[in-house]
Amino acid sequence: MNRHIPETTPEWLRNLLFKYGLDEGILDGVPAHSQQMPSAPPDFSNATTDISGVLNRLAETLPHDTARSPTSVDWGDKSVAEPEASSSAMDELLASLRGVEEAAKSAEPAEPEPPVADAPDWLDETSAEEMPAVPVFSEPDATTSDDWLADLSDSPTDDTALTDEVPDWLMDFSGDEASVLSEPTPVDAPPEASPPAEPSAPADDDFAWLDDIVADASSPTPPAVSEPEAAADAPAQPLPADSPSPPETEDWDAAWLARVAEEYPVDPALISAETSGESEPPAEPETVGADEPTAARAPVDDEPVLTEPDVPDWLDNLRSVVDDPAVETPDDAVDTAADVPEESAPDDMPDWLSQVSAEPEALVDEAVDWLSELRGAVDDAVEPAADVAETPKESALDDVPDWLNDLPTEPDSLESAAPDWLGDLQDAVDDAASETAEAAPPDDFSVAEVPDADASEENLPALADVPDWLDDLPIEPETLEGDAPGWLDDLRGTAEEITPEAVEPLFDDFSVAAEGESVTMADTAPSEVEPAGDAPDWLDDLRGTAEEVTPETVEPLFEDAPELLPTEFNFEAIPETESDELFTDASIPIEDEPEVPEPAATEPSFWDETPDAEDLFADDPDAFALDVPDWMGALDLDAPDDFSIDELDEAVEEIAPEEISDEMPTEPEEIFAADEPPAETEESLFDELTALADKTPSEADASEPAADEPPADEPFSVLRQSSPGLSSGTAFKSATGMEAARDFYDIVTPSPLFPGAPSVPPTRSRVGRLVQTILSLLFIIAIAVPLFSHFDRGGFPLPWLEPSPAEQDAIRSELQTVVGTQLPDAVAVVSFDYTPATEGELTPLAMAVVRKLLGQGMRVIAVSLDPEGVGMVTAVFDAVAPEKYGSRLINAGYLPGGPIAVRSLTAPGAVGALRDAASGERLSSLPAWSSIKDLNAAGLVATISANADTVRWWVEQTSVVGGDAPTFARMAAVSAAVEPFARPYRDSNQYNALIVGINGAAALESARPQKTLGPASAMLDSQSVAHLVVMVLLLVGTIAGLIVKYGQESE
Amino acid sequence: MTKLGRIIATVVAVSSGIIVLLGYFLPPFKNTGALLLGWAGIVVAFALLLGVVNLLRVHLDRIRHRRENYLYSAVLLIAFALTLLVGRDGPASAGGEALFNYVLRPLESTFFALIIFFIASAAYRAFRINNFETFLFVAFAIIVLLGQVPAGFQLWADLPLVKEWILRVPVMAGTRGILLGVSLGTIATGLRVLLAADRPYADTN
Repeated sequence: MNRHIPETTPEWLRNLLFKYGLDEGILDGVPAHSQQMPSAPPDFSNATTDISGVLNRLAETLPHDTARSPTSVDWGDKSVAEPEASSSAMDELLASLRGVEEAAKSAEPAEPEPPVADAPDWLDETSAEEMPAVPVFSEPDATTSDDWLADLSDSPTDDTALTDEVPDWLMDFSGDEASVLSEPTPVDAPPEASPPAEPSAPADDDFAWLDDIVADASSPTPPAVSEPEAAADAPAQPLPADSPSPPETEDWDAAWLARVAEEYPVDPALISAETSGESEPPAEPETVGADEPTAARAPVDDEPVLTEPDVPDWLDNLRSVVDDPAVETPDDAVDTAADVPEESAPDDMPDWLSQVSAEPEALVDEAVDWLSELRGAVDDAVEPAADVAETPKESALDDVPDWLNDLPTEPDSLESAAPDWLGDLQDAVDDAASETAEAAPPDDFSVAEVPDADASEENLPALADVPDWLDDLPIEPETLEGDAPGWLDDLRGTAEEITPEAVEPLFDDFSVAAEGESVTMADTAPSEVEPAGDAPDWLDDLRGTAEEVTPETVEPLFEDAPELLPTEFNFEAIPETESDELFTDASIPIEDEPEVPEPAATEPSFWDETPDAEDLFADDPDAFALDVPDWMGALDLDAPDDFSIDELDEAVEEIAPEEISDEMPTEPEEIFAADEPPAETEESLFDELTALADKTPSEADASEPAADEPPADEPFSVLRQSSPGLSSGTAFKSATGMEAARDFYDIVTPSPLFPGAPSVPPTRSRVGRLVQTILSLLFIIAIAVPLFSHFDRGGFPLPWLEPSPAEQDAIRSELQTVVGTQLPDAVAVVSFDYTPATEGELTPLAMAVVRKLLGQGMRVIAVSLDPEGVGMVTAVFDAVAPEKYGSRLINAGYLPGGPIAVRSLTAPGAVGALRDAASGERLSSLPAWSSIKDLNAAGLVATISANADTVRWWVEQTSVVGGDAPTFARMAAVSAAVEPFARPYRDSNQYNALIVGINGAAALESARPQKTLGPASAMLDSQSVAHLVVMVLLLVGTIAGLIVKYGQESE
Repeated sequence: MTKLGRIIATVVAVSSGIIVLLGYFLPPFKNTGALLLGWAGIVVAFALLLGVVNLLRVHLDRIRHRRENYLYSAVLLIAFALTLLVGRDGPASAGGEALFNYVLRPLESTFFALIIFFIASAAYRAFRINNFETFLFVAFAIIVLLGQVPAGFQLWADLPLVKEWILRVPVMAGTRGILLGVSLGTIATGLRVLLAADRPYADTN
């Protein structure tokens, strides 16, 4: 039964949050709370390790203003602890129980031991170091509250393990408390006849849940703020729907308590001193006056320190508050609180607890205003319990604000946010539960009675020992059982351990003990009795939540981890999807998987016509099998339709770990290393990628995938071939794999149209094309006619086709300086450094030069720095004077090495070492050339070159022979293109003569006395015509363009 | 190349360069420099042989793997074999001259002659007068074109002189700048090689 009672954050909690520097709003709502609040408990390993110290520091920093909030506590003198002043019914109860327990354990030697192993560190340190002296309760009398607490400890007393596991301060409950706790209260009714839960709880039951917290954490509770947070962050435990109160809960409760008891044995001397000298027998509730606790606490100041090292004094005070008979009823509690001075609160008690203990009046009247509101709401909800609705017991049900009702519901977040110390506690609890799993349930359950069927609702307040804020905890049933924090399970266990005997006294005081019927464990079965009948409503809620669990609700929980899905899960109820092909038969849907965007219909791409991954291997199943490693083949991914997840699990389990370790490499490197190394080299991979890039979609579609060798245009063929460990059948079967392959293909495939590609020039008009064609024909005819004319103009020179007289004089002057001064039989070393590509321009020049040299009576040794120059030499010699070859002309062939060859030619005897290209004989062996040893014997070194480098080489390398004043002349006959680079050497006289192109050749021809036209002159005719045509067209075109341009601008 | 190999190559290269360089200025190193240069010619000849071998390997590999345009590689190898067979007596032999005169010369001449069309197309695009710079460009082109041929002299007698001034002053200025840059670059490269800062002969990858 959920009671959504509107409530506001209590003042004390608001002030507490203010002290911690937290805003109230941070607790309003789960997301903000879970995100902003620390998920782990603070580190208390340093200065102050318990909440009391933290709160003390906060109290010290804040001004002690009496006018502050009523929930504030005056911390008083830190050095003086006066727990007696703040005694309450709870405190008294705990003290009395502990006293009895210590008396029972006094016969057993007990030594302080290190903190329990399963307790958090901060808990250990707190208990061992900074736990202040806890005053011994001098009044171990049982009150009405003691009864149910006695039952808490008494219910499992039949188990000896429980006695061993209960902490020593809680051992007060389990020794001879049987007699104490079983003492009937003045209004005690037979336990069997008492209803297990009744809304009319005594006033000290308001603090019952606090007792549980105290008992759970064994005094050093986390900070007040983090405590509910821990509850919020506690991972939910799965709760079987048919088992409202699992026996494991109480078992591990007992184990936990026993372990704590072992870790914190109580000194028998202290126990004896407490019980004999200072403790007083438990007083009857009726006889305990309102001011009695104060008097009873007086001797406590003299008690030795560290009487209860495992319980902080503020908790003792809390217990004293509870034990105080003055707060047996709300009215009495108010009266008692009024008598307790505020300054008497212990310094290590949290203010909110001090508020509870030291200011019961304020607690009831002021601070618990919100509780009163809740109480009123509960009164409306539970009419049979209207009489007791006004008691604090009722308010204890609602003592938790709404922000705890909004705790996160996600099991993952709960589990992740749970602090480690909770996990440790859970581990210890699990261990204890395993040991006591066989323990029989308490007999109390078998005799538990419920008043009637309506009591399920009426008795809700009777279960006030568990705050109803736990009822609203949205706990996931799947994980509730395993991940619930210890204190939460403790609460649950406490609630489950409530027997009629224990509960009955609680209601006796309020005279609401219903006369119900007895109920047994069988009656509590959910099939026969309403869940709320004998269990707290918060357990009913859990049970209801568990019952609501359906496969549909569980399904989203296992989306990310289908292997965790229970095997008994009904998979048939889950609709299959096409996205998960790997688990086709298992049919684990992936609901949130994004859909693969289909290509646009208007742009059919490669993927539109590319067969599916499975279709690629449809023709040849072996092709797929080849790509699947053996260890994956064992998984049998292509199972038949009836294949289920269970079979898959079995198949996986069949693979022994040793097999997996042998067959399946664990490291990525081993995956590639285990199989054959990638057959592709860098070059072949590049070719593959190039093939991918060059293939158009149509081409890609044209090729069919082969089984043995995947097609190159398959998008993931490169990846598959480059990494044999990868299986395309598994990697690309899923939509995600195909999407990745698609992205890869888009990356490696360039766009067919580059954005920066030049645009196609606009097509010309027909008239424009006609004009262009006519002009081209005229241009060709004008150039070709002179070339084919070869007519000898003789005595009819054409001035427009003859070189200018100035140019002829210049050429004549150049040759006169270089050639005219040479003696007959002088040797000229001429290098033919050009190829057939430029022979049209240089061959006429070379012929003119050779003729000039032969006309001067010189001998010519032809060499070449270019392999093809040998043929040019032969062509020139054959054209000029083939009959003089060997006597006046000789071809020394190709000189390899470029500048090195020229440099080598300057060496002594280098020229004589040259060989005739035709006969192969050395020049030194030839009679006509035997006198020529080196360049110093030559009169002229000439280069006929179409390359600026060779021009430079000859100048640079031949300078070593004679330096600035060589014994031979240097001449260069170059093409018109090389002239600008050769001119500087001519201007610096490094070359004594420079003849350029056809003009120079024509000038040489025309300078001859014969006036016969040679090929140079014929070529000069064509060149002249071509230049004229080009010039005319250039001028006309430019003028026409300007006219059009300015005409358009004027328009 | 191993570390020791790199060291040896560096020592040989640097010492050879220094000796040859000193041979330009100091007579005692002249003959030694000439000797090293003669060795260099032999090495270059072997480098030509290595080039031939590498050419054959590359094209044979292309034919073996049926790569793109591998038929051209086959033509190349066939021509290589024919030239080697026909011109076994040397380039000046009848067979060598025949191959040169009837195969190589027409091919190269024709290929180079095609440049005229590219030059004409470039002139058509470059000689559009759009601004002052293009106007200067066109004016200089016309003067040089007319000054190169006798017709220019006939049109204007001083036109060849203007052409000559253009070639001697503005064009020569730019050309000298280029040559100076090339010379400085050559010196710097030579110094780096001599100082072993650049070791193109060593596998420094």
